[in-house]
Amino acid sequence: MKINKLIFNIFIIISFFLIQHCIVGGAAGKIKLKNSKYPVSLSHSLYDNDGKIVSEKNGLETIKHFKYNTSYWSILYTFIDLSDDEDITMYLNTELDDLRGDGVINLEIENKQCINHMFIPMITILPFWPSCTNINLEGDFVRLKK
Amino acid sequence: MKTMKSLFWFMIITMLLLLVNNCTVTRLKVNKIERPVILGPIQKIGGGSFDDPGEDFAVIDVRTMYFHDKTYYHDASSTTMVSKSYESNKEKVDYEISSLIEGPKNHIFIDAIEFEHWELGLAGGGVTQKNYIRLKGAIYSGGPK
Repeated sequence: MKINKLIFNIFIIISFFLIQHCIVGGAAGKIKLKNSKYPVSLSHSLYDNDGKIVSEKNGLETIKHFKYNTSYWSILYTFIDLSDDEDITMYLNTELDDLRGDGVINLEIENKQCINHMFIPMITILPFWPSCTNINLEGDFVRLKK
Repeated sequence: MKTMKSLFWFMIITMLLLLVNNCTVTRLKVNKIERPVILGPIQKIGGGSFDDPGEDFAVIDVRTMYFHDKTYYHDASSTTMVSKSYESNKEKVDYEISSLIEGPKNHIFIDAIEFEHWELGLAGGGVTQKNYIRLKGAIYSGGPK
């Protein structure tokens, strides 16, 4: 009888261990910058108003290096996105307005796992449980040299 | 009561394990490219754009394509594997983008940066993670008129 109880307890512990560790989750998103007022480049150059290429070596000066972190949320295992890039656009527009800049160069993007999966792994199995991914952006605000 | 205590300690230990083990990062950086790689509809300083490429460029060929579509699956418990992926990803992205616009008259416009992270499996003991960043856009072959 005691052995049966012991086996039952071990079974319960192992089952709970497995369920607790089961993770299904994630998030997806897009950055399109539809409402950006300024050009944003992933390389270190931009087109000026005439369509000529200008870079830090030739016509641009860096005003400020920036880092911006945001999270993108999804439900139904990334099928439904709950976030958009409005906050990123707003941040870039506001900063460039304030700095009187002309654009962004050297934009880097980092996609990183969200920490919420780690604290509550078991619940992420549920399809309606929101899940996220962290996006870190880095780059330089620039303006045309006068 | 003993079972409850055991469960409690299992939870604490495994959550700590999850914190240590789970880390997947994909980073995209464009280097060694002298021309702009513009994201979004505003493409020129001053607010202008190449809305009608035929007007601004002598277009030879327009290709819409994914510039980068690397997906890394790995066991989250292997931190060395994660860091290797991280490094090789950076190198791969540089290489792929620069090779696409090698021609002196090619111009590249990004419509969207797409990304996704998801994971499936037993955490702390081998979660399969997918983590990617993808550039979707077009290359215009031809110089400004």
